[in-house]
Amino acid sequence: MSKKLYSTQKWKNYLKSRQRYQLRRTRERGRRRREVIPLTRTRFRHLPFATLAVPSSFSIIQNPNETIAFLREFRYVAQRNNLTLDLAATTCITIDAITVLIAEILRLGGTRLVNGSLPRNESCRDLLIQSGFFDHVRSRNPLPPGKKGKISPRKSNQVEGDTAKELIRIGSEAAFGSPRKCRGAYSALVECMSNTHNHATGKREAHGAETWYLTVYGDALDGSVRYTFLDTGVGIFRSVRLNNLKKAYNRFFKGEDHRHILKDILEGKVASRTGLPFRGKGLPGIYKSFLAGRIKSLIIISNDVYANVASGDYRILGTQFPGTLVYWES
Amino acid sequence: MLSISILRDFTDTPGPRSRDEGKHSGDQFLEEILLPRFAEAVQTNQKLTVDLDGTEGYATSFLEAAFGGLARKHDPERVLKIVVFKSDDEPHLVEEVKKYILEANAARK
Repeated sequence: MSKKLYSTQKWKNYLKSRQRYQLRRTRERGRRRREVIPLTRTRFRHLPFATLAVPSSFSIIQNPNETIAFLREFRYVAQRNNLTLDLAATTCITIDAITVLIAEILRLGGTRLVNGSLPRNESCRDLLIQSGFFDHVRSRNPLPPGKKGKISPRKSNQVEGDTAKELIRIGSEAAFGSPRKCRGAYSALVECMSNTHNHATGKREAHGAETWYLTVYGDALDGSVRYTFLDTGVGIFRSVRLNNLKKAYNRFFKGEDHRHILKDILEGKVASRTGLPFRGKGLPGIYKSFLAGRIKSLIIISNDVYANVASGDYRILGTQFPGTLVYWES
Repeated sequence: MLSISILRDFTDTPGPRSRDEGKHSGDQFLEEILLPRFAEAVQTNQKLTVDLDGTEGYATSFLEAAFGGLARKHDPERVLKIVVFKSDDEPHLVEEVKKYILEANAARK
């Protein structure tokens, strides 16, 4: 009688080799997807503090790759540590980066301690205090209240016209000395909130489950009001409805990538996910406002694309931005 | 002549397209204000002036839901004959709204 197949030495060697291969693959996968490990709910006082150096130019709109890499590192390190942010050497901070940092801190839901030093650079320190950053993090020393700006985190189950109005008033009062209407900014804010409500969760989840964060900062020195709208959803390119075959054709034969798709979306050439011809006017509406001069310095960052619409600088980023950030001035 | 002022009759902060997205939506304006007044204008054979001035601004989705929505319920040519738009704050809105009415017409065909 012949020997059973599964008891042969050859088969045993094969199984051992498969076992080693699968174990190696699992370990590699764990290393690659480190960001998906759920936040440890260990009480924060038992966790060690890890120090993170904030980039010297902490600005998504000016230094996207380094700043986004820092924010991803923040998310990863916060899984098992309390955090100390070293801002001392930071020489440039912009309101968009503060907004995203606030969003990351709020995402921790009070399960981690986040502390840090103030920047040595005076204008950076002033911006951090005046933007309302310390309304969301605790400071050991008393700080003057922020008057020039406000960060307003909200759940996106509602589009809030009243919030948009209030923030426009705060920003314009700080920049011009008296509150003013800014219809271009109002329109863009409502479009952004609506986009988050309708698209940010992607295809699989219910509408209105994503959070948006909205920041306004009025700068009296250059007489401008800066708006940052952040949604922490799936990003434009994972929510947009595109024919996969056409996408693949355009990628391989025309060399097109997400930059081209974003340009098409802005120009109103991409149909709405609903399939209705009269829908899908959100981003094209913001772009039209920009072209008509009602808003300035429009920058859109989503997934792997950085688009400075004002200067025509469309770039593929070396890292993925988690969500969508729209920045403009008025 | 009948008239609607969005600021006076509805809100100073017009919102999104649909009711589930938030307060003061285009759908709400269409159903509660625009459709009844339009019907009244048709019945009494009068023009209906819609004053867009005085608000904080408009999202395109609000305008499309309200006026495109009206043109999806009534004949767009008739809508354009009866409704007169006024916008001194943002004159470009008049043409934009008329475009939504005509695009709603294209969607019907």
